[in-house]
Amino acid sequence: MGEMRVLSTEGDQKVIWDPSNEDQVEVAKMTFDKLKAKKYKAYSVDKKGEPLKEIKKFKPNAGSLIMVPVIAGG
Amino acid sequence: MATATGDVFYYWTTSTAGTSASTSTDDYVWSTWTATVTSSTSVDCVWHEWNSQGTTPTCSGDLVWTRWNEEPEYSVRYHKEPVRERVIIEPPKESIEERRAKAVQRKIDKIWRDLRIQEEKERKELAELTAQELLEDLIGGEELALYRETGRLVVPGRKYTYVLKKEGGVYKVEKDKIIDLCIHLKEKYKYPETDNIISLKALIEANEYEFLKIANSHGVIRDESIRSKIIDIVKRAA
Repeated sequence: MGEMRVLSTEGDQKVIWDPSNEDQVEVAKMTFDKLKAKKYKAYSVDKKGEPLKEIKKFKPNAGSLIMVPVIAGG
Repeated sequence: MATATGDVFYYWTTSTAGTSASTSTDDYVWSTWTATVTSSTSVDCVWHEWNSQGTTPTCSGDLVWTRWNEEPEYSVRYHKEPVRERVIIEPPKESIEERRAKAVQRKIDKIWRDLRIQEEKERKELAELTAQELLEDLIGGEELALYRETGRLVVPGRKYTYVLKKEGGVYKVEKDKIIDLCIHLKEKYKYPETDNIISLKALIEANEYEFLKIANSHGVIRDESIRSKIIDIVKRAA
């Protein structure tokens, strides 16, 4: 199962998909692309405690993803 | 100035003299002006007033100075804005019932306001709990315990080690010095504090160069008590 956790004002919102289900993959990809257009960064989580890795394109088998909004200097 | 008989303007423009008048039998400006030339102060006309009262006389006769002083809006001497009267509209007095109704309404408004504040507080607490659940899925139990205890998360980068503060702000720990950095989610105050921590942790781990490029340095930490606390946290996390 794939999982996308989108940081939001309410904590994180989850989008879950089955990589073998084309419709679910399509919805997840659309969400991913929409967030990327809003300059969110996508990170993949390989294993607990492992450093996160940035990904540029949606992969149905990417596993767990975290979508982070824009960061700025203060 | 009106052109009634007895006015300078009247005589100037209409009756006897006109603007090129030289003499007039009427005992007004032109008469006095031309008859006495260098002005006699015995005639109750312009020159008399001018000489006897100075340039700001009050005069009661229907003469030049009367018009001059009483009707300045017609005067050629200067133009004054007419005085506007200030009208104070007092609100209608409230009856006891109306005052009571307003007091009750104020109480109701306050209850609603307090409820909204309470709801917002609960919403933020819930969002923070959700964010901490996500962090729990990313880091080990010991790190999480340290974060909950101190409000600090230690993130080792490729080049430096970083101490992320829950309330905002980052310490970059170099060999001998600790630098105060400012970097956060663009709309930080909308998000739970721990979501800000997760975002910074992700950026440090995935692209430390970009993290340092975005962050603004607020200088070296020189306060020894703060330095020792940060170093202690870094040691505990190692």
